[in-house]
Amino acid sequence: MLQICALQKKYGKQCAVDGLSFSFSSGIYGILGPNGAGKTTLLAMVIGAIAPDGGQILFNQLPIERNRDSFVSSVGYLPQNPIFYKDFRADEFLSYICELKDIPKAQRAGQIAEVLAEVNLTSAAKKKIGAYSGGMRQRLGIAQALLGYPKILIFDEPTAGLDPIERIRFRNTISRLSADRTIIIATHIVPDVEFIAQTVILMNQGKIVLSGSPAEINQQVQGKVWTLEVSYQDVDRFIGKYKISNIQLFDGRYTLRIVNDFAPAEYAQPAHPRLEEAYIYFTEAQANELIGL
Amino acid sequence: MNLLAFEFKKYLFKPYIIFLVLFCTLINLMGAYLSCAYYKQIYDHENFQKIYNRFLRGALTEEKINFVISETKRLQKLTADQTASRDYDPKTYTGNLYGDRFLFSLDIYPEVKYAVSYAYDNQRVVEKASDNIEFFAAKNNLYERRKNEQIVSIYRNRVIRDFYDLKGMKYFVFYDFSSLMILLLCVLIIAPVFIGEKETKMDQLTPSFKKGDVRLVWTKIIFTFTVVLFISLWFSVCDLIGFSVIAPLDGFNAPVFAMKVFQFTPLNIRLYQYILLGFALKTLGIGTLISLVLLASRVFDRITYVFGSSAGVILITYLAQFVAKASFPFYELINPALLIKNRYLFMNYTAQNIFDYPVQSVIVAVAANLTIIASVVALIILASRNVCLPKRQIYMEAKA
Repeated sequence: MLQICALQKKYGKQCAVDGLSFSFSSGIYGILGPNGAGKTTLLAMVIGAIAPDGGQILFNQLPIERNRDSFVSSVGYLPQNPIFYKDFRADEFLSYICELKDIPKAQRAGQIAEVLAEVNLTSAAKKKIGAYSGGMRQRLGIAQALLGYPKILIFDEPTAGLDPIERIRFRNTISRLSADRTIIIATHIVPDVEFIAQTVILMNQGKIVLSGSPAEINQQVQGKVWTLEVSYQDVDRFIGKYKISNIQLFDGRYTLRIVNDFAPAEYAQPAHPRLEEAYIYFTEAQANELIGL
Repeated sequence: MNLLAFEFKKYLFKPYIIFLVLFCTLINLMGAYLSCAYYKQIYDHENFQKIYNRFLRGALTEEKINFVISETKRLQKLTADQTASRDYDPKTYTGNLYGDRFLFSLDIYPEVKYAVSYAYDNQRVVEKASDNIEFFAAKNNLYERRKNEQIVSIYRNRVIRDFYDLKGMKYFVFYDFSSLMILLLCVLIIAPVFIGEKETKMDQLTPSFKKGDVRLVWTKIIFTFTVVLFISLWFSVCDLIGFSVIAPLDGFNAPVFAMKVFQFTPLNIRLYQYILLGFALKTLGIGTLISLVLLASRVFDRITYVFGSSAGVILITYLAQFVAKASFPFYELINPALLIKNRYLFMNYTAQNIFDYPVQSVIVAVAANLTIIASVVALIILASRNVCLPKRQIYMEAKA
């Protein structure tokens, strides 16, 4: 359905997206990468906000610039940290999006009611966006992306600003919407995609470093995740030397999960890898990024 | 609602904008009142109006002309030796003979004389131009010959048949404060048109919509010029109503050259037509300046830069007109302020040499301003066609 071929984007000497190729069909895709990995630039090129320096984006086998109207009619997009128009009421804003998406007038009221219900904002439909919390605004962003029943949904850091309950609700909504759709979620928060994505794409420095199902990706770090108990005095020594995915205090002893090619200590035990450990291994991200700090 | 209606909702129908429009309207009307009050202090408005309405208004008959001449002579004679009484006399127009003499000698007589002798004075201009045609034909100076032919064609057979009190009209024509109000409001409304999309991050979203491409940009351009037209029309109508009440205005049907300041105007139209023409030119001039504000809104990422650059452009434009020459060299005709204060373009005949053809300065000024607007619009469209976002912005946000 959607293909990117040798896509490239440079900002001066810095290569934000470096010859990236991938094919998206139906299902949920999670693009994981640290800040500055090129996720937002990639998505901005896909939706046509910026022009690539090289490569092509194909929709139904045709370059999107030659197929723009058909492509944008099939896409719903949620940018990073949307603010929207503070003076607009939510229903007015969605009505404006309907106009921009060229949705037939007769269908607008019904679709607006539907998407507001989908994101649980029906009771706040007449409220001004300026009075919305960050989470409500994010949900409104999801609602506008759903207008027009697009076949492709693209979300850029969709859970930024959402509380844990809203994050769970978001994941459930996405899972519900995923039938017959292509959903692309770019994030640096691993749990956002860990349990719902059929395919995870790990990006770093503008390149895809690994892609596959979460199980396949976990398989790549099989035998590279270790667990060991250490005293308080030894914690700092391990932190400085290894990639730590988790530290847990229990009965005065610290349990560390370490991602490393070989056992960090003789008494370290091999552990079953998790997606965030694959993420750390391949992107060299820090543990605090994983929990969205 | 269509896209244009949503632009109105986003940038015009805001409580503070509505308040500012009303506030500026009030300030403008006060300005009009103060402007009239100042001029009315200079001459005896009340008594002039009495005599004008009773004896002079309308067709310039021999009877009216004789009345003005005989009254002026009579009053000069009665006050020549300064021995006439200065006490209040109910039989006089103003309260005493000296007041009557000043009114007739300094106000009524010169104005009636101007109207009566206009045809004769103007004929001398035509004769001089006719002589010039022969002279420049002999010298093979094609441009000057054509220019003088145009002068003859414009100025021949001019006559003022009716007498009107056009002082109010003069205050109206010379009133510029409303242009400042229009500019101020247009800058406030238009500056956020593109910046607002960046600040709300809607510029990252709109490219993903069917109508979010160049159609949205065109909507914003149309919105900009609609706002300029609407605000300009609103203040022009307020000026007209305000001056009609305060001044008051008379002689809408008189020729433009019936006003002494327009003695040598190249316009052969009525004053009401001149008001419409002046409105159109002023709107075009403001439209040119505001199109630059729109470009700044498209280019810059911060509203303060847009306001700063807008203020700079308007200031430079306004200062530039003070060094304008009477002959209007071409570089001055591109100044939108000249169209905003368009009366200066019509006080005398001025032309530009375009391939040996004399083209009136106003036409060149209009063409230059339309070219600026077209270029700015083209730049905005081009800037929006491929790249809808500042590239750096996406990268920096992703990095953050």
